[in-house]
This record gives sequence, C-alpha cells and structure tokens, in this order.
Amino acid sequence: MDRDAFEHLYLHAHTLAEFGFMRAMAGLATTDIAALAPAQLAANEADAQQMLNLDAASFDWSALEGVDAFGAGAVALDAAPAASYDGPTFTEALAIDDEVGGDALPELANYLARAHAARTLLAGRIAHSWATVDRQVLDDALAALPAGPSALTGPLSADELAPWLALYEQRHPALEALVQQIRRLEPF
Amino acid sequence: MSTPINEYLTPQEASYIAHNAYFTLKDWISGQPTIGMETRANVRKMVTGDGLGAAAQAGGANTSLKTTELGGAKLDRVFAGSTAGVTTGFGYVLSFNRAGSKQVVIATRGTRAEHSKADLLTDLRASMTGFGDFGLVHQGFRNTFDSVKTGLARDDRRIMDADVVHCVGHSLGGAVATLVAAHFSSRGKAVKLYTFGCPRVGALGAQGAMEQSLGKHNIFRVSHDLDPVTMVGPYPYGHLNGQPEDANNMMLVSPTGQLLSVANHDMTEYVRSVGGLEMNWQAVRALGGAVERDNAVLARWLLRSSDNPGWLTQTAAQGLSYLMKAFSHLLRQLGFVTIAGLTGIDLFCVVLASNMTKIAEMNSQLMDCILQAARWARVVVSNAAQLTATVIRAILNAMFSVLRPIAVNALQTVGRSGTPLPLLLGGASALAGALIG
Repeated sequence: MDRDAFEHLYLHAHTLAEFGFMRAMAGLATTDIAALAPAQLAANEADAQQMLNLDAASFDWSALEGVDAFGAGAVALDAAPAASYDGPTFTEALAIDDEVGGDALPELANYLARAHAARTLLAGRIAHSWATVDRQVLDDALAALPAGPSALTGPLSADELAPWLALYEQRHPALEALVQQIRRLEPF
Repeated sequence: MSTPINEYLTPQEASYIAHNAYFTLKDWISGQPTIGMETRANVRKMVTGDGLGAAAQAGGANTSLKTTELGGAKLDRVFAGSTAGVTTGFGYVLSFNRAGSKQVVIATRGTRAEHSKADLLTDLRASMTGFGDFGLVHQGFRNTFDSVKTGLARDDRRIMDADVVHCVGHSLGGAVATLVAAHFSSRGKAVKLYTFGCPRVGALGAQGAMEQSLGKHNIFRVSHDLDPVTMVGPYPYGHLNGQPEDANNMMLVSPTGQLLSVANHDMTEYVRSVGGLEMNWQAVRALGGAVERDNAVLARWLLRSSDNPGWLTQTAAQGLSYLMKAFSHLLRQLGFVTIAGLTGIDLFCVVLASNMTKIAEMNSQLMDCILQAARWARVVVSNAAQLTATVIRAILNAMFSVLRPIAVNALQTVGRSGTPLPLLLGGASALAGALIG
C-alpha cells in the first residue's frame, strides 16, 4: 500500500465510522418503542426519581471508579492537551458547518465528496496516521475484507461506498476491525 | 404564604449587583486588575455612584445601582476572599430599607483565571467536603466560602438584624453566594439567592437540603443554555433548582446563537439578557420557554463550539449530538422523564451509578444505542453480554476527552487575548468570561 491508497482508506474509514454512527443514532432518535405497561412506566419513573434523589451514605462510588473525572486520571483544566495537530480539523476541512446545528442527516454523497475534497487540508493528520500504522497488520486487515465492493483504498463514489456502509452497519467483523484500527491511529 | 414582591430584588438589581461585585477586585475599574482589594471609595462609585459614566455610554454597560430603586443603598463593607490561596477583594455588603423592612445584600464575585487556575475538572470525588448539615459540596467553593465568612464576620450583627438577606453572585461568586445563603438560612434568616452562570455546588442530596432550607421560591437561578460553567461538575453533582420543571430555573437562550463562546458565561451578557428596566422575574421565566430543554444540552454545546481544537472534538461533537438525541428519546419513551434536563455526561454517569445496563437489557433499542456509543468510543462490543460497566466507563472517558479540550481552549482563548476590556465592553464582566470555579 502506498501513501495515496492510505489516504483513501483513511477518509473512507472515518467516513464509515462517523457517518454510520450519525445515521444509526438518527434512526434510533425516531424509533418508537413498543408501549410499556403503565405499571412498568411508573416503576421506571420511580427508578429515575431514585437516581436523582441521592444520599451520600448509600451512593456507590465504586461504580464511577475508572472514570477519569472522578479519580486519579482526573486532570487539571489548565493542563495542556494530550495531542494537537496543525491545520483544520476533519469537519472544518469538510466544511460542513452549514449542517451543524440542524437535525437533518447529511447525504452520504455530500459527506463523501467533502471528505475527498479535504485530502490536502488533512495531509498532516493523514501523515501522522501513515507514519504510525502497522502496515503488516493493516494489510492483513484489508485481506480479510469481503470481496466484491470496490476497494476502500481507491477513490469511491457514494454508490460505491454504500455497500461498505451497509456492511459496517451490519457490524461485519473484518470491516469493523479495520475501521477501528484506522481510527485509533489518532488519539482521543 | 407568598413573599411580598418588595422582598425580592428585581432581575435588573440582581444582575447589576452580580456584575458590579467584580469592582471589588483591585484595579478592575482601570481594566488592569491586580491582586488585592479595591478602595471602598472606588467600589462605592461603581456600586451606587456614577459607575462607568461616559465610558458606559460609549457602548458599555453601567451597572451602578444609582438609577435603580437601590440608588440610596449604603455600601457597608468591602470584604476579601481567597481562591487557591490568593486573597483579593471578593465582594461587598450593602444595606437598604424597602417598604419598611431592613434588607441586606451580600454580593460575591467570580475569580480571574490568571489569579487562580480553574480546577473544576480535577478529581470530583476527592474534591467533596462536608458543609454543615447540608451534605457534600465542592471543596474549592467551600474553601472560598470559609475565607468570605471570615470577612463577613464584622457584619454579622448587621446581617442577622436584617429582615431579608439577598445573596448574589456570578460564576464562582454564584457558588459562594449559594453557600453564604445556606449558611445564613441555617441560622434562621430569610434569605433570597440569585445566581448567574453558577456551577454545580453540591452533590448527593446537598442541593436538595439547601433548597429545603432556603425555599425553592427564594432561589433564582439564571443561566444561558450554552454556558459551559453551568455544566460542571457532572452527576452526582447537581444544581439548586436544577430540574426543568423548577419555576425559578431560568435557563435562557445563549447570546451567541449557534456558536459556543465564553461570552455565554460573561456577566455582561447576563445583564443584557435580564437587566432591562421592564424585566421582572415572570418575564425572565417566559424567556426560558425558548430553550429546548432536552438531554442534548452538552452535545449542543459541543456541536456549536467554534473553538474545537481537534478531530475527535469536532467530529465527536456531531456524533455526540445524535447520540444524545437518541438516548434522550429512548429514555423518555421508557418512562425516565425525570432525568430530562441532564447533560449527556450526566446521563452516562447515571447509567453507571444506577446500573442502568440492566434496563438496557430490557429494551433492544436502548441496548443498541449504548452499543453504538461504545463503538463511537472505539470499544468494539458485539453483544449485550459484553456491555459491562467497563464499557460505559470507556464511553464516559471518551466524552470527557471531548469536554476537556474544549473547556481548556475556551479558557485559554480568553487568556490569550490578554486584553482587559471592562471600560470598552461594559465592565468587569467582559473579563468575567474567563472565570470559573
């Protein structure tokens, strides 16, 4: 794999993850749950009340152990960020500000077109990922992908990416692993 | 029994007081604040005198009380307070008579970022400490309260002799005002509390105990919906009058519109929001009707940030927005309507603390939502059996990792400007945007 192919893979992996997540959440946000029995609704409301009416004696702090803000991992607000990059962020590079704040899910074609258009702006981030990726592991992950759809390492139209998105939404294990591998190249 | 209206400050009076309390900090008036306490004469000028005068007419806000019904009030004392070991002018005591009753105002200001570093996202559990019979409060607020209490000791008799005590503050000043109010309420005084952009002070029932002592109708909490300071610390910390149905929980649409800005925490903006002469508390409550009160508060804050520094921060803000919409929608349908109004981070803290993964097991859509959130947090979970508390912690840590750089950046952006703006932009509050516990 060369740098150019990796750039395509980087853009497509992030697009699958972010766009797929937004689409899944948008779907759930409009899902109607089968009506619960009145008794169950009342019980849940009572549970909610209990969650908010706490007392120090009975609160189980062990549940929050391991959450950084409540323990040793907590960091001062004025500490330096863990990592930083020059240049615009992904979404700044994609220039999707016009969609920010609205409820409408962006079109895949629009999202993808902007991702491709942002390659130059994201060069620093892609270079960081390319420099740190384990290429053998990456090649193995690519080899495990199903045959059929056009390669993620080349330019793709929305129609060509759509089958990959469907597989990602179906939680295809090999694709899931590949996407996570790419995303983890950039730290939180 | 209802309280006579003349026993409350008006929104204009309260916001002016929260604003002009900053002038107790030495040299704030000149736009070059330094560590120390301003002279009483200068504080009097800003509180009940001519205030900013011509400078205010050039575009700033003059928050002197001179033109209000409190114009004849007497400035009794300017007192000091300490934050993170730094002692400065921190507030004042004002007394006046209204409709035959003796009333006292205790005004407390926020703190400057360059005088004491913000620490609200440090260990929130270790930062809890007891506060009388009320329960647990944030240690930093308690420490500052203790220092203020020392300064107030000389006025104790005057305060205890008053018929009504008004405690007013913005940001950290709001947190300290909350503790001052609870302190005097516990001593039997009739206390009214007015806070603007106040962080969460108490946890695990302390906020409820303070509400009970003060009376919820005597607590006026004003916030902008995209004011980041009001969102920390997370559950189990909570606001006084923090529920959406609380009549005096007055959350207003933020002045910056679609963009997060530190200006949403700026006291000048609060003055603009509620300080109009014709405004009364009922009108302020009505303004709150324009706010979309859902569980996406934090997500919308992130989404609208203009200061996001990184890939995940920005993209996660978009994803997080959708996550919160879905999570809120599903929880409401399942009957958990009471927890509406919490931020996204609060909700996942609730999930952890209340073992709500069991609830998720009863509903496939809620389970799917959490599984997707885990995936978003880069944790591969393929089935419900793998949805453990560890996974929820990973989601929460991912959310905190989004929160923190934005909060840091918001503070650093203001700090970098290094431009004292009070005289040009309307007084202390132009810089008060940098204030945080």
